[in-house]
Amino acid sequence: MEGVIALGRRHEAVGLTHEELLSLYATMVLVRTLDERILVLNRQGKAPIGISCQGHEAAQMGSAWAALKDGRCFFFPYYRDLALKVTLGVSAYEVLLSFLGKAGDPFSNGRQFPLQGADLRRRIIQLSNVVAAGLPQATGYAWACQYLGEETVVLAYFGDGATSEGECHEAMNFAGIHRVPIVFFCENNGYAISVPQRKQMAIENVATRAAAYGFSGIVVDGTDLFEVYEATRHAIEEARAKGPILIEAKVERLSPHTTDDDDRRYRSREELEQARQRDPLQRLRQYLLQDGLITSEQDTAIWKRARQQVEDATQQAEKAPYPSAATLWEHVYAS
Amino acid sequence: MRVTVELPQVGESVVEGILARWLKEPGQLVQLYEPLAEIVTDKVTMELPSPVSGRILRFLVEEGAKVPVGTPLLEIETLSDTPCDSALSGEEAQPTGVGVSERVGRLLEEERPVGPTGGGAPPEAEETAIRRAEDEGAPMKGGAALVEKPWYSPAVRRLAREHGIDLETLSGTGLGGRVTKEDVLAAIAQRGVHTEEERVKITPIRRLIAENMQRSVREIPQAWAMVEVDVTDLVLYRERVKEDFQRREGVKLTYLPFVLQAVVEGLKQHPRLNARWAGEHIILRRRIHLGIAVATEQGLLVPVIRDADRLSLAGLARAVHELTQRARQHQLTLEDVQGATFTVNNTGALGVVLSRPIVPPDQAGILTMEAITQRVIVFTDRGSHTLPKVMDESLSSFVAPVFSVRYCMNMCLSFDHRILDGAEAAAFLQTVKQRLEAFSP
Amino acid sequence: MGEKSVIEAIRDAMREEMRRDERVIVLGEDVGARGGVFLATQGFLEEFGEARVIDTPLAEASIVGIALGLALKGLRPIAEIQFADFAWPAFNQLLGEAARACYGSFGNVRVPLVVRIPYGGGIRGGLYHSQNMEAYFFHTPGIKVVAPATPYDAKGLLKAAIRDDNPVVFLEHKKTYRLVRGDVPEGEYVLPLGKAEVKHEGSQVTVISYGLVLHYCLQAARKLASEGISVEVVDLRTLRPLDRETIIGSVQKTGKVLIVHEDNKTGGIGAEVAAILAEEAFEFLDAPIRRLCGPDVPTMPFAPPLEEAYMPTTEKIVAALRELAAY
Repeated sequence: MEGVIALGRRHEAVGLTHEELLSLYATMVLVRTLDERILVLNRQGKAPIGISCQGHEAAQMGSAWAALKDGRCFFFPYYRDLALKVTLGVSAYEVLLSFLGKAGDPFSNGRQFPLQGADLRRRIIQLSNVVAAGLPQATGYAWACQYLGEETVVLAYFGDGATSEGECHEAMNFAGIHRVPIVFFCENNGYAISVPQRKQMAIENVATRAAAYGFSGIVVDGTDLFEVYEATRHAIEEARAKGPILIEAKVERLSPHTTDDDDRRYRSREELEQARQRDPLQRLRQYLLQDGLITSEQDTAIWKRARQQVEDATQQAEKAPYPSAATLWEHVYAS
Repeated sequence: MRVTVELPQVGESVVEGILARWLKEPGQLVQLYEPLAEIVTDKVTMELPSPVSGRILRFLVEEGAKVPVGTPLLEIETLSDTPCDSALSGEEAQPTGVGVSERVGRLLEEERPVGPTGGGAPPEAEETAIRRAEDEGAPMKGGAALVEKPWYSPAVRRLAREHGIDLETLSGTGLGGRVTKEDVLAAIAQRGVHTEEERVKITPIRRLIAENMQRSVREIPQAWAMVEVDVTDLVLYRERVKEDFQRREGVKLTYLPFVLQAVVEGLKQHPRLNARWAGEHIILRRRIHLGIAVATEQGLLVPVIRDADRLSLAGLARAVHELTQRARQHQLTLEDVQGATFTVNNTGALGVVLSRPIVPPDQAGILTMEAITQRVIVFTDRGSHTLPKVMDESLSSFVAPVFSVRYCMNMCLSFDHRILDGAEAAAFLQTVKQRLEAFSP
Repeated sequence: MGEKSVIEAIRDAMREEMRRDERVIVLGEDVGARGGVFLATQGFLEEFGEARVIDTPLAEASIVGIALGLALKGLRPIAEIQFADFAWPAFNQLLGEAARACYGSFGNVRVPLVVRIPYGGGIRGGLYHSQNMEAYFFHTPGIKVVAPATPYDAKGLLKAAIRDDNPVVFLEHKKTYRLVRGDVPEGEYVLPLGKAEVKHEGSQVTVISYGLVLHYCLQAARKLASEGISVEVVDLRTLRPLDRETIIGSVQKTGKVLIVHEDNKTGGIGAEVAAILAEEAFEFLDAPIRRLCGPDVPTMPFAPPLEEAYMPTTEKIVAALRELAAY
């Protein structure tokens, strides 16, 4: 991760091919386009809530990609992980089905807030959006994988606010005691809705807490795709071999908490301007363009294709039916 | 899933039915199509098949009740949706030999109880004298004493209703003199022994007859006319042919088929007798369906011979025989009793010589054939039954009457005076009479 | 056929299921080396090892939360909360998460989780070792709630709970652990969840109960039998789902019903049973539905006279039944 690497070669240094790079970029563009579209649908009254991941993309995608390549990971995301879920294979159409509450949403068939429930095909469980509730569950899941002799590593995602919850502490404590194969991945954007980090904790870095649980914690620049990718790759190996590890990815939250939030109430315009300087998408784009890894025509084509994909997906999803009221009583119990 | 079973629409004109008898009980299992109850409509009994398999939860209607089509009758819980069955493996077996009372176990009083926080040696728990703490709930109020009029619990009211018990005749053994469920059950057991009156439950057929008659009398202005018919020639004719007829046709030849033939002719010539009142119109019916009254132990049933005008005498005799059999064996279907356009009642079979029948609803008339008796008839002309001129004005010519003993049968017609008047009624009677008198002996 | 106490029956049930299925894991405070503070898991660590008998940190939320994670991966965890009084922090994971997981994922995941909770008083436990909290679990769709009163029922129902693919809260009245003994057959048997049982047949009055006080109801029924009053005693056994058929059937027969439970009266399970009877057995009631329950104070106090004043007793039940029979 450290050291001087020639311009335009950072991706190679961390083991990414050109194809992977372009594919990741195209996905990130797709995610951004989707993110914007969800906002529009919310303002049109069609999507009851929009939860933006803008600013978090590199952290989510870099870690997801490392996990996918490892091939033996399982995921417990949280509510902001749109980029993560798309990288893991959830299509734009499925994303929109979920945000519109339509039947066919793979997570909960329209029963829950967007993209939560369980999509076992993509190896994702996110039972609720009670903050930090998934962390003990992720820990237990990882323990069970180990008990069953699997090599699975669980990646548990959460924000800075979640680290204040008692259940976060309990999960990490147990994980440390039992050397559970889990990567705790904190996407620290410095805000829990409107509460800034300095009111959330007395420390600078969440990562320092890992030592209290007997494992290591590292801080990475969450807007740097390659840094995240590399760190996660190592973390997965360490988790499999030794036990838990905490990655704290510093990111910016470029949008309000959700579409129900107005962050102008607590963030100044200057602060937001500064944050946008660290947009991971622009950063990646710069990286690709400045050393000729893609041409600007290719770039334009990528953006255009993303818009078309999102357009098609929107139309399809808007036409899709809602789940019928007759399904209300199903699955209260497993039979 | 709870399914409500309603009274279905079983016949075109059926609007209601009587739930004569439940064939199952609440709590019992029932299979799809298994009969749930006996329903009576238009005096015909049908079985109501269950639309689902399941367990009967409760009845919503009591036996004997008359309800419109579509009324919910009972609730069934279908078995497929029994919630929350535990996922038991196939290995579990019911243990043998452990009765409930043994399994219940006993509560040990004398042992040292478990400490508050688990195992360990807690202080000795002495059984201190248990003070009777006040019961938190209010004491039970006497049901009858507190309210001015007697109060009956839901169970008491239901039992009284189901068994026709007059609660006011009962004294109660419950709190404050309340009539209890046991009191009602005891009354049911003892019923009829010491009272002056006896209550008889109304059968569904009785109820239907009662309602029809009431409706008819209420709606139809009924007039009445009678003729005497000299059936001597008919009697002799029948005597002559009846044995051959029976051998040939397999059924007895009674007088009724002859009367039915005559009635058919009468209806053809006087179509207003084969009609019904429809408020703004009189509806003349082109087809002739004769209802024939049959007395059964359940009550009067009136099966219908359809298109009687198309039947020969033998055909009529056979139809009469068949319908009468079926009526007496409770095998009439709904179709058998619907659609009569005119009705004939053989009251003569009961030994009656004069009756005033009630026009059935939606018909124009009903004709009885009374008992055939032998009478001394005076007539001046052959075939005429007019009273002779015994005296003419001069008192000098005295025409000696001729007497004869003849077989006579009265026929009484009640008719709907809205549709026709006495003249037409009389004309109809004349036609029938002439037809019956036109046999060669 | 042998006689066992409730705690022995529970221990046997867990041991048999752990031998039968390697996916069954036990976790909780002190369940390992100590064998459980009530000795429910005595000998388990020795037989099954640390991998399957986990002494957890003192953190109820994560005892259930981690167990939930195990269940999501397909193991069959039995989580023990040491006392119902300490279960409050676990409500988030149990009622907020586990109960809703199958429904919220449209059946994509299931939660074969058992949470065993000792509850109830009469053992001088005071406010924080005597609590009844069955009503909170009872109210939640998505979980099942079991409360056996006898060793035979405890064993058969716990095995059923472990084999059930849904989250089951298994409530064990701690006073019955050693004070209730009964016959338990040697062979393998499982009892169905969701089925009540008539423990004593009768014709005049029905009493519906569960847990420790069921035994007081039985004592009351036997006493009244000698007075010529015929009492039918129904043991609910499973609280959710309630066995409506047995409850309604008994009241249809007798027409009078008394519901007895140790839990606070208001909003307790007796309230729901009474509502069901009023809705579905109205025409069969010959008297108002009565409840005899713990008073609406926050749990029974420590001092003996106060605890006695709180608890339903055989005498109180006899008096209530006599009154009801005479109505």
